[in-house]
Amino acid sequence: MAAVSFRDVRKSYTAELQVIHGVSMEIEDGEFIVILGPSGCGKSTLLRMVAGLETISAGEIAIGGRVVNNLEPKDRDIAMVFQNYALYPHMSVYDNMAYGLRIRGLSKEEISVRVQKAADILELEKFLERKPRALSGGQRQRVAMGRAIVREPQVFLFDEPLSNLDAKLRVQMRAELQALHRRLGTTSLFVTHDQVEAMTLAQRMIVMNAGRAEQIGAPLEIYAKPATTFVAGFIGSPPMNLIPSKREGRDALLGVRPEHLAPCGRGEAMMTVDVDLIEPLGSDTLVYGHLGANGAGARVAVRLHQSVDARAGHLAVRYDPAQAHWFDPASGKRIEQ
Amino acid sequence: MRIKMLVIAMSGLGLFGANAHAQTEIQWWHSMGGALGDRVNELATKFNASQKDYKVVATYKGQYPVSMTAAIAAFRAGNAPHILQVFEVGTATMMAAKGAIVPVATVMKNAKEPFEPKAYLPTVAGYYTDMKGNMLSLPFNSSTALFYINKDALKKAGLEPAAPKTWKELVATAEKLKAAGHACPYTTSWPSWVHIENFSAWHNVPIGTMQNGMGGLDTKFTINSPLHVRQIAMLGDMAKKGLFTYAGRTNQGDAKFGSGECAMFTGSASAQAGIRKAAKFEWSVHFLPYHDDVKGAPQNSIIGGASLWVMASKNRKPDEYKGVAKFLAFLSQPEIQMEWHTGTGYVPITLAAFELTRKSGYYDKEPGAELTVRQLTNKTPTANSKGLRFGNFVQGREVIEEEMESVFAGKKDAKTAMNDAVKRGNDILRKFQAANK
Amino acid sequence: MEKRVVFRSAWLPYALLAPQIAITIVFFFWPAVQAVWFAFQLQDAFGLHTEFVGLQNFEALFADEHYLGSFRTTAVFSVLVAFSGIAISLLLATMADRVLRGALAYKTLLIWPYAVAPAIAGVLWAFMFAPSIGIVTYVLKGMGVDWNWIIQGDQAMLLVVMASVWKQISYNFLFFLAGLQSIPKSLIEAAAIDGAGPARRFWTIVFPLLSPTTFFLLVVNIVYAFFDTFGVIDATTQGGPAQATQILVYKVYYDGVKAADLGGSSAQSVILMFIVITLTVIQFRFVERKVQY
Repeated sequence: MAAVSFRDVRKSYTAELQVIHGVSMEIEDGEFIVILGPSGCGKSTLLRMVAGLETISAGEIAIGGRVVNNLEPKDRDIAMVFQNYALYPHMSVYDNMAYGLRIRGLSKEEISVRVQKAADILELEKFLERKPRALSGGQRQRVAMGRAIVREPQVFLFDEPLSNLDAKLRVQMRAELQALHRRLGTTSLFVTHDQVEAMTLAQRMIVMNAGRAEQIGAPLEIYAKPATTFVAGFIGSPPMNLIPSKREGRDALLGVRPEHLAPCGRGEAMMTVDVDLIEPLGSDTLVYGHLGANGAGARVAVRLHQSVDARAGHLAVRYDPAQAHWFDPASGKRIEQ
Repeated sequence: MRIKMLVIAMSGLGLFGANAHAQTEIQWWHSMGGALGDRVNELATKFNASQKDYKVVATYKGQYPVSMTAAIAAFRAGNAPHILQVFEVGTATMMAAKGAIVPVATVMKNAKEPFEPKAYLPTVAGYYTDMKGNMLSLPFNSSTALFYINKDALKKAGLEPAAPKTWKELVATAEKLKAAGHACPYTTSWPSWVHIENFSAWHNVPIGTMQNGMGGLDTKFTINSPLHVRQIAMLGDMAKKGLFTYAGRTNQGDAKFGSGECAMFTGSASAQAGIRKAAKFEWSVHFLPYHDDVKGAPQNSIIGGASLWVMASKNRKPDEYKGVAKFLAFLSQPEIQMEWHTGTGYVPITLAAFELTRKSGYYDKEPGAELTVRQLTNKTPTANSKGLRFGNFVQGREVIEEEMESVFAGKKDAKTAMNDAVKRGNDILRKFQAANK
Repeated sequence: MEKRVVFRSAWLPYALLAPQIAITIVFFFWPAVQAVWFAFQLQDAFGLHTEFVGLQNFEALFADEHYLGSFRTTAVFSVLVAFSGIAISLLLATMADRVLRGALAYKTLLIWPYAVAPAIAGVLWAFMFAPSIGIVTYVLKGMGVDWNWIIQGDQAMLLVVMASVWKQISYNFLFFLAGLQSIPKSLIEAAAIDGAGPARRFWTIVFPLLSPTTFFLLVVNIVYAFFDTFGVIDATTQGGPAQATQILVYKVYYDGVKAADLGGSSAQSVILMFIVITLTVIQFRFVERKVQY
């Protein structure tokens, strides 16, 4: 267990191609951090820089107070779980987990103890002699985690480990990961593009876009106060509505989350939505539509708790100004009120 | 356009018309490539031009072993050529194939072509004649082994540019050359042909029992006699001392001499053409060296090369054999022989051709050419020096050469090697005997 | 969904197969049957006398120390060719796998020798190593090595092994490179994180995963060493000196063509056929088990 520090970390592949633009963050010992962002935002690169699989062009990464820029992966005391599990196909589950330990010269007994312990935690006892190709996706994922656990490293690194699992399994694994973290308490960095995973697993998140850390904070903080239009649009499903408007005489973007738009009578309406599509989900109903000309035809989504009459072509809504967010259209940054 | 077509058609018909009176084709398979192949084609063309009834078609079929295999396969398929050029070591195989060949003497007799066996040089014809005096195949390209020296190299080493006459002298000369810094005093081509076969004839000792195999199939090799062992041991010793560089089993020695790498060399007389082109030094050619303490040496040397065999086939018509006979008679004419001899370096096969060449003054210009005939006719051939006839001798020769190689490489002593050569060689002879009884 | 071709007419499939079957029968089965038949005969070159002699040809072969020697020579030769061919091309493929710049140039240079005919490869190497005039001989002499493969059997073996391996490296290289590139990079990274250095990563991860390729190439290389190297040997040493390079297939040719011993040669062909069948069966049965797919 250890703290991890990013100090103005940058990466370029060539002089022209810079992919990480100065990320800084202090991660405390034992924290579960999620690095969230869309494809190509640099989140995996950032993680691999911590692992030592990518070089660091500028800045420093420190683990447990030790700068690791020039250390080989095996000397950084980290363990990584890959998206495709990266299990050694020709070895049994036991040997997969024992591989790293054998290299480090642990005794047979010690190895056996550690592997058994991990197998217990992950419910893999019955599969120790099997080869990966005889396991299901979920079991393979657990073996990959087991391989990381037995190393008892200072930091766990997860590179989109749940992306290859089906929806139901993903939910189950999320719960198991949380339980695991509670039990072991190891500092963890978890990369994902799925904001639901991020929101449920993270103690704090880094939201990344095009190589920059757009916002760092706890999930609910970020949800309640997105720092940029990108973050606002990325977190929440459906994403926050961004409506061109004017504020104090200048152009601005008004942000209101779909669940904060309440249907109202014509008289109280702050906006009128021309309904395009209604999605009844059972628990909620999603209404997709667009605003009229004075709202510049912006697309809007509304989350309602009741069913809506499909024949109604318009929906009048209002919102609590306290739930409104304002963004500068040019920079995308939040305008504080 | 139409008239043109008509003219072409007419001339085509005309040609066809001319050939309509059937010309019998005689198929001749040979192994003479390159410049020699051109000469072969010249012979065929000349014959074809000299008469209208027969057309000899000469085809190059690859090297001797390959062409022989092809002819055997063709025979089995009922398609054998009329004439096949076969190397001298294949004589026993051809002779034993009684249903596959027709002896030349028989062909000439049946075709009523004039044929005089005595007109042919005895050493040359003797190789291809059976014990009763019937010629089995027509000698075609024969040469013998000669001894070459690099005069410039000898001069450079402070020696007289004269050829050693005996092997003792040769070893002494080689030692002096080596002392003077020459890397390769002596090499040879065709090791078995020179140092066993010709060596035996030149010293009037047998290579095998029953007149070197001519007397029957149950012949046995005698090449492990003290004299033979002495010769091979001498070569092995020279190899160890760096006086003799082994070049390989065929004519690889020619290049070593011609390039100036080796100062003295024994090889075929036919190497002269290539050496003439390549050598940038003065050289001369001589009789083979001999051991002067052996009674009767030097006797005469024997030929190497190939002869023409007439092959039988189920559908052969007498007319085809007549054409073959005419061609063989054509080849034996003195003028044709002289042209072949002076053009290629192979020996003339008839006394008349030899005389004709001498009268023309050719030997005054090219003493080396006469040397071949003179060495072959040095003395009247004995039972040991008429030639040899061993079954499967292709294999036999290679066995002898393998054993010689193990001596040159220092792996075996000469006595063991020659004993092994005799044992292995005899096994091959017995197998041949069994298959041909 | 399975793709199945359905023929509506009853005779069309047979008609389509017929040419291939005809060729296989004429060029493979018929000569093979004839070889087996000849193996039991003693005959002269022209086939004028043939005698059925049962197993005599086979007995004679096994009593012939040169035939038994040929076994040993072939074993040594094929082991050298197969193992050096595989080892060298694996090394080259591993190195080529890492190269980014100029990768195409390296790969082309490594692949083209495969297009060279075996006889030409043999002659090429024979020239470079020719005892008098060869370039390499010159260099070796300068280093004090007496190079004369016309006399030294070991050197002759070295020469034909080099010429044979050179040709085959390209083929092995291609397969190894493809095999290497099919190993997911994440496996190597996981091993690196687990603490494995480059050598251990290679031997514990990469090499086991390459085993299908290696096994396949082992079979191909051994068959190559047994048969396709004929051209190399014929163009250079012709089985010499003193039978140092006379592998079984060359002896078959030599005895059949040069010595016109069709019975012995056919018997050798039959034995050779059994050897290769056995080798292939062994390889597929036993080595296959250890292969990871």
